[in-house]
Amino acid sequence: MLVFKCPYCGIEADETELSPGGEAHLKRFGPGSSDEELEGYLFNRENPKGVHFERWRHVYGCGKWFHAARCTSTLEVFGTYSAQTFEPPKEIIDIIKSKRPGWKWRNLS
Amino acid sequence: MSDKKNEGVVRSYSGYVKVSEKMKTGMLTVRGDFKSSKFKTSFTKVVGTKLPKDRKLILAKNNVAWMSPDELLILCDYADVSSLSQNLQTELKDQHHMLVNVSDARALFEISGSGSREVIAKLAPVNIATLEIGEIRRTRFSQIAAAFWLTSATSVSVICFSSVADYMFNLLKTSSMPNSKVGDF
Repeated sequence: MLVFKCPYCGIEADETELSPGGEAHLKRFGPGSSDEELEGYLFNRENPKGVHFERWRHVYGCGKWFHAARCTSTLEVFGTYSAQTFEPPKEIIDIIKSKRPGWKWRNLS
Repeated sequence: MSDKKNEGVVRSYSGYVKVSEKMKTGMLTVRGDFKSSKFKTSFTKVVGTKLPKDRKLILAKNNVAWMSPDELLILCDYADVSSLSQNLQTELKDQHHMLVNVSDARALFEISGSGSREVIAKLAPVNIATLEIGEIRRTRFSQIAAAFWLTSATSVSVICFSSVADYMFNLLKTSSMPNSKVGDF
């Protein structure tokens, strides 16, 4: 079972107290963008075996959205961080680098 | 019917702990910027207590519970809610805030007896052994959202939406059936 520490209230919340929100750090392409960009925004997702960044909501707790970095094959959690950011913080990247050398996720590695 | 011992109680059940649903309690949801010192001053002036720290509950004349980084719940007498709400509204009128009287939308349960924590542990995904008195935990009880806090080592208060109060009562009842004690706490 996944256990994430909510960065807003500090509670160690298990999966059943949370609601998944899909892939993190998507850039929205709305009116004025090309068809390819809109299609990519709507449908194209990473589907990694290994390091992944996701959005989760602490739905039965404080109700806040946050980001989580975890491994999809071992369910190891590298860390959680604030939703008010466009990219993972350096501490999280450093942890992943030390635990999964050679990892890659979109333009991050 | 009017049993003195059961005054203020909607319904109750005695298993290996006693479960009772309380009559209406005044509850007021407050949202705002809790980091602002102006907000803190106004709040303390009207409610009479400081703002609770993260995940804490202040037990005073008006209990104040932390619900999220920008939400508090004030628990008071049912009769006092509208005056408290109005006073707070007046005091906070030029500050960013939201006040909602949720008294009739919530139900309050009390559980007392030596197995109270165990009754909760059977229902909620919470490490109850590390939960301190005066700490509020928002979580789920089986399939519904709820919040609870320990009032002593052997008694617990639980709040949930009044629309699911029946479900909650039955849940607590089942969890506290005689002969179902595990004895972990």
